[in-house]
Amino acid sequence: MSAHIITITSGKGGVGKTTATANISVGLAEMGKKVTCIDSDIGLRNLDVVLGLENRIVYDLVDVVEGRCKVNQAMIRDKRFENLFLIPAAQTRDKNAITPKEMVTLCESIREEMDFILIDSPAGIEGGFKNAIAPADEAIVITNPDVSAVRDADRIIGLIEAAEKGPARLILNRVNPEMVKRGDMMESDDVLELLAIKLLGIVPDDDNVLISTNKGQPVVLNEKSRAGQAFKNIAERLNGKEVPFLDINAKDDFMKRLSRVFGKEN
Amino acid sequence: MKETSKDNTKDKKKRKEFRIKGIRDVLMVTIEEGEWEDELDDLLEYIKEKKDFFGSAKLAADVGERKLKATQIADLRDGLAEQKINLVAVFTSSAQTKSNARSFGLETEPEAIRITTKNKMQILPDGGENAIIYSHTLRSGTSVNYSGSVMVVGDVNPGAEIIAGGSVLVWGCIRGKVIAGSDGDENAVICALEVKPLEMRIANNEIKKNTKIKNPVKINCQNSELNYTVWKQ
Repeated sequence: MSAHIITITSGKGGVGKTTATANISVGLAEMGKKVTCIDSDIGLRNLDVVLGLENRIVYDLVDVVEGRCKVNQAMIRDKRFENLFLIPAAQTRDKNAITPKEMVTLCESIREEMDFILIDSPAGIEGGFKNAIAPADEAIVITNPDVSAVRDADRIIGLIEAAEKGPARLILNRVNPEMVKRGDMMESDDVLELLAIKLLGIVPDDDNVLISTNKGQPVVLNEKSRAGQAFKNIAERLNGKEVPFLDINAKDDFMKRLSRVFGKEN
Repeated sequence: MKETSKDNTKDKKKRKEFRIKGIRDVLMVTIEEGEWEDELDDLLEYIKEKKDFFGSAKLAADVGERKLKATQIADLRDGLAEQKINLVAVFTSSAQTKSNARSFGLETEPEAIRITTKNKMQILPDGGENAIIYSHTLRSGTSVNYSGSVMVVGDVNPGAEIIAGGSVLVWGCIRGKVIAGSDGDENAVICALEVKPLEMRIANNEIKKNTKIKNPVKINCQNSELNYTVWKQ
């Protein structure tokens, strides 16, 4: 076994890096893959919250790097999936507490035991991003269909290429079909034309994401959520399966609604 | 530090060592804290002694957080030029140094070196004027500042900029900032497959705000006005 190391990054903050990392990790774990996700947002950790593991933290990333514990002591086993682990960030330190080299060493030390290692990158293009991208085999850029997020995504794609981790793949998050229809949101095609990288998935705007985040239950576990379905599809694609893209315009699939009426779902 | 030693190998410890790193075909030297003039002398001395290693390399200098005046950067560039070494970039965290370095047409972002040296090549068009080609999209944050002409096979995205003394040819869409004839040359032209720039001008003639041209276009200057030749199918 040798893990595929994927860094999830965006440049801009608040576009959904942590949510995506959590959901893709859970999606892959649900498929039986052995997954470790690493929160590299030192000082602003929240991947543990989204995964609902915050009260289980004993050691963190900085403790490992500074030799206060062994790496497997800092790996928190998920309560739902025994093949999913989290290495949390330190909350009381900052990005300078670790170096890119130390991140590489840490990832390599667990690579053989895992199928996937997902790294949640902090926002920005400085040290924190460099730490997150250093060990990556591949980078996923996540953005929202708005002009500023896309501009930052473009910048970060340039930096990924410069770091020789390219070509990155794209997740377009929080697409609201109603707003696109009204012309208030950038069209997916416009975003793709500008960024010119391969699309990994489109995630529709979905209130369930926020609800499940607050509960510490990743939305990918909610079978009724369209965002959850989108994240599941992304996990499948990362695992090498070809899955058709969701029709973002269909608010709710007619056949699905029909089958729900007849109680065929669940 | 100024002493010149006769024996290159034995005196090594007394002399200042510089950290040298290779990025593609560019050598990057780190100039540590200290009085700039002294450090500069030491560096030039160091390069002179290791002439075999440096050859006629391209050099990038990391000057840390120093605030350098334009003349100090010129001293570095000229001192290196005397030894046939071409200064291509100055890396710094000081905004002042950065802008002074840019005024000499030097790169200031490490990634610019990585990308540009990979895909950049020099050509000599008619008349012997210099041009550079970028064979990839210029993404946000990329700045190309060149005294000759610039050709891009790809797009120029919002947040990227080209400032060229000569003409600019883009085999793609111009969405960012493009300036041709930056020294006032009204004979410069801009050609692109699609044009919807944030900012664009030839010499001092600015393109109208919100211009969008979806067909291949050549833009030139006539009596200080921009003239558009649009290709239609």
